[in-house]
Amino acid sequence: MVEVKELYKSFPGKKGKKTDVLKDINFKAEPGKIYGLLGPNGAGKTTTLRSVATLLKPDKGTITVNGFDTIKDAGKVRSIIGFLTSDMKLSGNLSPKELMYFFGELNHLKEDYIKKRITELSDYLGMNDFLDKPIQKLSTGMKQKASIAVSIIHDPEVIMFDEPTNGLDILASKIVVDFLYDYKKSGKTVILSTHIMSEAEKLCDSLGIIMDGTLVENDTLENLREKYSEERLENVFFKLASERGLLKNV
Amino acid sequence: MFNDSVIIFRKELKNIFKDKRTIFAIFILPLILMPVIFSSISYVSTLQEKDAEENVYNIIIENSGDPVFEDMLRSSLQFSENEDEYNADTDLRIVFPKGYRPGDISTVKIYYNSLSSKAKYAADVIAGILNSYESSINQKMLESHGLSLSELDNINTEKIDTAPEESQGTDFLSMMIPYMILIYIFSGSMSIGLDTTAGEKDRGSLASLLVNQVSRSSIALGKVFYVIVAGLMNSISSFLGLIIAFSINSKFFGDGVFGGNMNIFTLSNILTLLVSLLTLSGIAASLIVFLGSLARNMREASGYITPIYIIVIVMGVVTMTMDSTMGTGLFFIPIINSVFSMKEILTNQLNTVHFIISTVINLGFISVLVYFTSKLFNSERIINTI
Repeated sequence: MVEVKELYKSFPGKKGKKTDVLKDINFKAEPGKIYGLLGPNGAGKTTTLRSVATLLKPDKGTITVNGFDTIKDAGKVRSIIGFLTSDMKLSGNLSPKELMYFFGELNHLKEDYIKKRITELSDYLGMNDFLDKPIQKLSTGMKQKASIAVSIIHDPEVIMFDEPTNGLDILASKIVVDFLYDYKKSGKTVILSTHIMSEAEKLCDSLGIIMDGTLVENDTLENLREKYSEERLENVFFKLASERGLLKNV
Repeated sequence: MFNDSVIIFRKELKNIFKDKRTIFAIFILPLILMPVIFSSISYVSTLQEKDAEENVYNIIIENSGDPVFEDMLRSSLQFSENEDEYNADTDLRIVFPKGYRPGDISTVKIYYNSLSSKAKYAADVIAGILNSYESSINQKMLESHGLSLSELDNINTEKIDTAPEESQGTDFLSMMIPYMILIYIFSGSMSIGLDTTAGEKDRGSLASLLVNQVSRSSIALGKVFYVIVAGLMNSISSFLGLIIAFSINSKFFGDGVFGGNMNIFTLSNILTLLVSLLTLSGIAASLIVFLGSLARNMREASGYITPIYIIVIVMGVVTMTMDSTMGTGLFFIPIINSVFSMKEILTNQLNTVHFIISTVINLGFISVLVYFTSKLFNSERIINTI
């Protein structure tokens, strides 16, 4: 379970003035469910996920992951989270197997357990045919599978995927979507940041919509549809954006 | 912390050892390139020298009127005397004063084109012949007075080298090798160091490393270790390449380079040289890893590192001709202290105090840079660029 309470975050802007990036963010991501963070580019989705992943410190507010505070128990939090971004492009001469082993070692896992996890993940993600091939020789889909495997080698309780299907073709995207669905089914907590509405509709149990650093909606998909009398999430999103004058600048 | 650094170090090293092209470029190429470069220089110079010696020069000799001079010149230089006026085909022109007679106090002018290496060679030969010609005239004049030139030559000079026998002739070695090693350590570490820091940011893989349980210091240390080893292997390979190059071209570089001085490579000298190389590699690695971590991407990292590289080249050039035995103060300056330590070792004049000061200062400098790099990995300004 991830619990974000009254999260504020700002970054130094031009001429020393601070720019507020997150303002009073509150949400809960529960085990066995996918929580979707939706928003346009620059809304604050990545900053929220980076704060949960202990990479950034909140100016105000608290974040707990399975009861562990991201500031006080950062090490503990890191041991139970998996984090994958769309920017992550595995490259180099090492094979997926060697990279999984490396990340297993970094997570202080025992050798036998790492080997067991490599077998499990290769079978589950269908990686056996290219497990020993250099990453740089793999296709985009294969690399995406390897990225997923690397980020969950330690079998984390919570996974956070930041726009994981960005730049992927439909087949590679399916790998990610299927994986997220399975992961949630296994009782783990999943946070997914995306701006692809169809993906969110298909996968997310509850949604948080961020605009200009503020969480303007935080509810289930059904409730949002009912509240805005719209069948499609995309139209709900456009309504919210229009109310805030965001469509004028597009 | 150290175990995590070793895991990162091992992974990076494994990555590099699996790439045949990188292995070739970093470790094999200097072994081949150095002998090829220096052999080519030696070959071309020898060829030019031979060509200059065998060339038949077109020379105009004006107002000489003394066949003795021409005979002497012909014994050292092949030439055809041009009777015509000075023209484009004329290589050189030797002008005696009008009405010259042997024994007259006079100035002989040699006209030559300094852009032609052959003409320069011939001008030097002619100047030498004119000296001999002068001596022969003087000898004749003295003989007419019952004297000989050797009787007037009352002061002879003899230079005696007081440097230890094993250090004699190592000045070229101590001039070239530290400079080449300095350049090679930095250039060899640059691509690797920037790839493992700014390159990781470009690939988005640094975030995965930072959300793991390893400390920031372990990440910084692991990456610095890796760049040190890669840079060190590159510089050792360059060093061996230089030794091979100088050995096979000892005729060109002078027998003193290695001919009788292999005895400077004693066990203690090799060990201290390795320590100097190691600390110099450490400085290069920690500096590059720090700047690579500070940059937002590879382009910015290249912009940061280029001025540093230029400063390093300037340091190498400035210190190249400086005396190997310098004041203690210089040994407190990182990089420069390594250059002078190497100079001391290669001339077999190692000062233990200098060596200890250099090593301690350099290790301290590396520690400070590793500390600041680990701080960078905690800095939100940097986290926002990953």
